[in-house]
Amino acid sequence: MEGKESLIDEDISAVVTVILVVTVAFASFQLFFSGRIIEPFSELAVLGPKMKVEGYPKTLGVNESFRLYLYIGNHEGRVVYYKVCIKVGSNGTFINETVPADVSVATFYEVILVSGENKTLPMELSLKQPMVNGKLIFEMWVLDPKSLEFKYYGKWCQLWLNVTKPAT
Amino acid sequence: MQSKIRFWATVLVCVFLISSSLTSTIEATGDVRVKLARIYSDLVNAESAGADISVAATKLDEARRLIASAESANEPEKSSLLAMASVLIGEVEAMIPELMEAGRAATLYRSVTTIASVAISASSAIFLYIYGPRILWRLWLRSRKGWRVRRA
Repeated sequence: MEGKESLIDEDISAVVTVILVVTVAFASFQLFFSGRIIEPFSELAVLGPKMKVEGYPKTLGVNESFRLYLYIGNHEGRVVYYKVCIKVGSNGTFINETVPADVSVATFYEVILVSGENKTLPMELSLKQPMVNGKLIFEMWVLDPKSLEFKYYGKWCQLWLNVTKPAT
Repeated sequence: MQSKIRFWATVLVCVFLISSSLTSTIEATGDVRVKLARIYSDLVNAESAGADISVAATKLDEARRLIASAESANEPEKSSLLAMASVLIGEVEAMIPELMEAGRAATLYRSVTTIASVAISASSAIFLYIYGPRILWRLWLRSRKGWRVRRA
């Protein structure tokens, strides 16, 4: 009889211990990691004239004004000063995650966002030169708080465009 | 001849005055941008120290928007926009020491809460490990103390 009681006690103890260990581990994990961002990232998107991922212009006239929207989101876990540089490139303009396009900045948009915040900015753009298979490049730069200089953040979007001369 | 000299002297003085005022405006725009960047850097440090900088960041973004508007505006609107931006930047700058202090206090509070929670959880686990089964069986027996055992 005594042996049987002792066996039940041990089983119960083991189950209770396992439940407690799991609960304590889960509670500790929640305490330490709640609100922390494991994988920080930023969002950059160019939206069409109706603030959707559609309706982008394909062919435009020189100096013809068109509207697009710029979406920027911050999930970096810290405040970030963003600058989106807009450049006009050709079919051969090179750009990747480490190298920004080697063409001059046509215009730029800036915004300071806290973590978890996003903004959609309207852009009124027009192109001054005719081009075939041209690229409108949107590069994301961020202000480095140490050097106080903007650095390329490796994110970009591009829009293929044909710009025609107005008929005379 | 004298009137001609007087005319050109006046033109020269006007050109000098206009160019110097333009130069001072350009310098002011640059100065405000540099100040904005510096305060942004301070804000990043304050956030690292645990401060809630959301209000200050919104103000700083408003200052940035005013500077951007000033860059495409003409005088006297330009100067007034820059002055407003400077005021906002000054307000954020004044907030930073207070934010840092609040951040440090919040970090300390979080650490104390975390340590206390872990300590309470651990001591509860040990207590339950030692006394849990005994308490459980005592309660089980108490709940059945009125029962009668009958041979089936």
